Amino acid sequence: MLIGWKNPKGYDILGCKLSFDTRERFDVAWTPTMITLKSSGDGLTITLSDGPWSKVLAELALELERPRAVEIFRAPLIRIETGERALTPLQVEELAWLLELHDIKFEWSSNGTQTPLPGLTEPRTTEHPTSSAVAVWEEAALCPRTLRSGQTIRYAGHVAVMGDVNAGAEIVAAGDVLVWGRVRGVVHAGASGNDNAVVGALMLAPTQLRIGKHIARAPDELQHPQRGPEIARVREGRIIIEGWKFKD
Amino acid sequence: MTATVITITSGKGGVGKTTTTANIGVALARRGKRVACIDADIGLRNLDVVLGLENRIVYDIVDVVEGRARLRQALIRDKRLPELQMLPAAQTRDKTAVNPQQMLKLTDDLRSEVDFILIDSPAGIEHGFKNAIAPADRVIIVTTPEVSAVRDADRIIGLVEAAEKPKPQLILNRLRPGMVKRGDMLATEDVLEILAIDLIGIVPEDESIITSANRGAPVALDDKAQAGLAYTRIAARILGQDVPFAVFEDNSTLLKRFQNWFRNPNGGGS
Repeated sequence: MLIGWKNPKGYDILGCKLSFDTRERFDVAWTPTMITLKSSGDGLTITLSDGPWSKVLAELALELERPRAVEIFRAPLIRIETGERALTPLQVEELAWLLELHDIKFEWSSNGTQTPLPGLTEPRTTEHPTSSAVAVWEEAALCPRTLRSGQTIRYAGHVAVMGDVNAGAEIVAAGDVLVWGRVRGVVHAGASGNDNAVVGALMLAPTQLRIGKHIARAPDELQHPQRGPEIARVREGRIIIEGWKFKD
Repeated sequence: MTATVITITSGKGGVGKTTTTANIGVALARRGKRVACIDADIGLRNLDVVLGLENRIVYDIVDVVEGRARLRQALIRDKRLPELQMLPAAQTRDKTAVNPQQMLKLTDDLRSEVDFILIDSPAGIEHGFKNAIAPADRVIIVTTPEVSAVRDADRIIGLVEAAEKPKPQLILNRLRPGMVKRGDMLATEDVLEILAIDLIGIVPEDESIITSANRGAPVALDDKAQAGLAYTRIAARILGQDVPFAVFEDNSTLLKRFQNWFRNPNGGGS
């Protein structure tokens, strides 16, 4: 469950603070600016603005986590209106992943000028100054404290944690996951299908590690985790964990 | 003068919340503090049994919130310590018979009459836990050195933080020094590394806990029992005193027990 609260900078800090009353307070205080939800006779239309993609996704993610989201998104037909925005294949994938995460079926809506279909639109390279195949998001969710058992972050971008990820906690991110602390819980990086994502931590002893479509689990025998920072990535179809080497 | 409300909780059942509540209550009362213990485990009441006050119950917490009895009528004064009182849970109802607002009002009505209000939380993270945590000024988490209990304690600490309560403190219960020494039990440091909260007490495994609970005479009344002394030290720390943590020895072998007995006929000593 992803919980966000409005901070002075906007909504780029998505926290791990999970509570009944926090959720209620957040529900009253926050209205989206990057997306609009409109109910019509036969369903719900989600219109995405031209704003930064990460903010659009983050706002949609927050809307989906609202206490009453189940009622709102239960509409028989959900249309996604992208306006003038042309979606890259990656963006389409992220959007689909986010909605699938919440078991929501949807269809693309054409407004005449654009027909955004998966795989058909040009990637907007201007927003991403790198030509690398690795997806670049503008922002990352920062969790400034330890994630305890039962607490979960789901974010359509990178996730950084300042603290531990305890056993029983879970992070699901479309991008990379970096933990300035110990990882004992479950981490899924590149959850929208990106095998290039990485998981880095000061100590990696996760219950389970997932990158893209790959899953690795801790050995059944108790082992003393290696001390020192490590990074996990997919190499030749397998998740491997390497010690972090300082680059000059 | 207004009372401090301390909620004792754990997540997992059977780790010793009720025993801890009863014994901290006794230890504080023995130091002259006025204490009221509230059993928030509606439907599965135990605190009255551990305190040996079961046969004095006339009204319970649900009678008070539903207006059938005044708070003063329902409170039971301890038979040994006049400073100690207890509000029993109802046995015939369930957790939903009380809501967090009613718990707040109940404790507010009590605050002017005592120095400490101890709330014995039920296991779990649902309604009963929310009732118990709502009025808390301080929270004490009880765990045993077992992986499952520590996992649940971690979950509970997250929920306590989310409820915007001060950082909870930890009691490590039923520690067996011999097993830790052999590497068969989580050590205090292991538990603290995972939970990352402050320790307020370590209670060693002690058979006198079971016998005293069965007799309805909390072990904190017994100055010879190791566990009783541990609760006395916890009470002192709650009152803000800086009491060093005892190092418990493995007393499981017969020889060691004799050695200990000769060294200190009053038992324990640590």
